[in-house]
Amino acid sequence: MKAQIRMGESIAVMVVFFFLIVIAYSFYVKIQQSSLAVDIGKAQELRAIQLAQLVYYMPEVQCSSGTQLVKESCFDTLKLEKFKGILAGDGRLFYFRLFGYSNISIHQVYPPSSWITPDYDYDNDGTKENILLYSRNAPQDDPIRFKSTKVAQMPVALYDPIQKKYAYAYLVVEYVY
Amino acid sequence: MSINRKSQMEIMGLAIIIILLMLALVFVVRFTLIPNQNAPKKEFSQAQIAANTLNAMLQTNVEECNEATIERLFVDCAQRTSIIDCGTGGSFVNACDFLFGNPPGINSFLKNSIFLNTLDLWEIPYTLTFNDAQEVASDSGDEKCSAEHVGTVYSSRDLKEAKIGLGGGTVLIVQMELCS
Repeated sequence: MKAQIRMGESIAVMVVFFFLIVIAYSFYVKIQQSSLAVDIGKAQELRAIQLAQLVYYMPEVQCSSGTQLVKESCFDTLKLEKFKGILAGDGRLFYFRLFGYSNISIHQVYPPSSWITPDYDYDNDGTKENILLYSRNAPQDDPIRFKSTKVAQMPVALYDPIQKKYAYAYLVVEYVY
Repeated sequence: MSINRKSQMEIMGLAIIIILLMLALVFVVRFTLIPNQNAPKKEFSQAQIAANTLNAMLQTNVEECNEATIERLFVDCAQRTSIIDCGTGGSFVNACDFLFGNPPGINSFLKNSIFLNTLDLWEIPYTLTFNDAQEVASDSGDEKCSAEHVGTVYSSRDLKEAKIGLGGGTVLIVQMELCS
């Protein structure tokens, strides 16, 4: 009888002990999950910046004179217009490998009235002037991926080679992951 | 013999309790005492934004000032030559007043036309200083973005400079500070 009581005690202690271990483990897994989500977020933020830099330093859009790059932080608006056409046409597949599912646009800040050569894509309210360079929507049927977006912005000058004038703008990269 | 076994069991129990306490301590140190590091994005992109803001801004032509570039306006402001008229409606406005406002900060072109829809919109505290004298600063944040407030109000600060040569060894310095 005494031995049975001892056995019962031991079993109860073991049950409590394992119960505590299970609680601790689930707590640990939850913390690991949240820190993993943070790490993934940081990695995707870096990817968005990487993408913004890629566009920022593309010779396809940078201001140039002859064969030499002459201006930093500058996009040639005629090159932008041409590049936009390439992205929507023959270069669609090639640039998809670089840009993936993302939206790349340029927002003119100053002067507010558009004088630069390419056509603008107006927002719904008709006030903001954007050049939508690239847009590829992510598939909606994927239950896990492509549910979040990271945004990176970078100021840039827009050069109109016809009027030989510069406007102040910024590049926006919205990366979907 | 039974006394020995009982004391052994008690020591085992104590050891388990100590191990559990140590595990708990490791968790506390990991999640509370080690400070959160800045996101790599902020550290990296802030320096880029500061440099690119300066580069892009200095090239921009200003309609109100007969299409002069902002760099040219800085030169005119520093030399006090008042060659460029930035006034509208017949009144003369010199480059300094136009760029930084008169009184300073009021109707500043840099503030209203350049930074309001970029750095202010992105809520990045900034200070643009010209020749250690005139400046434009953000409204966001409790304190001005400067070296003295790093470590107290802000965790990091990036400083970029643009130098404009005037000839004869004179150089104008435009500084852009971004904080986070």
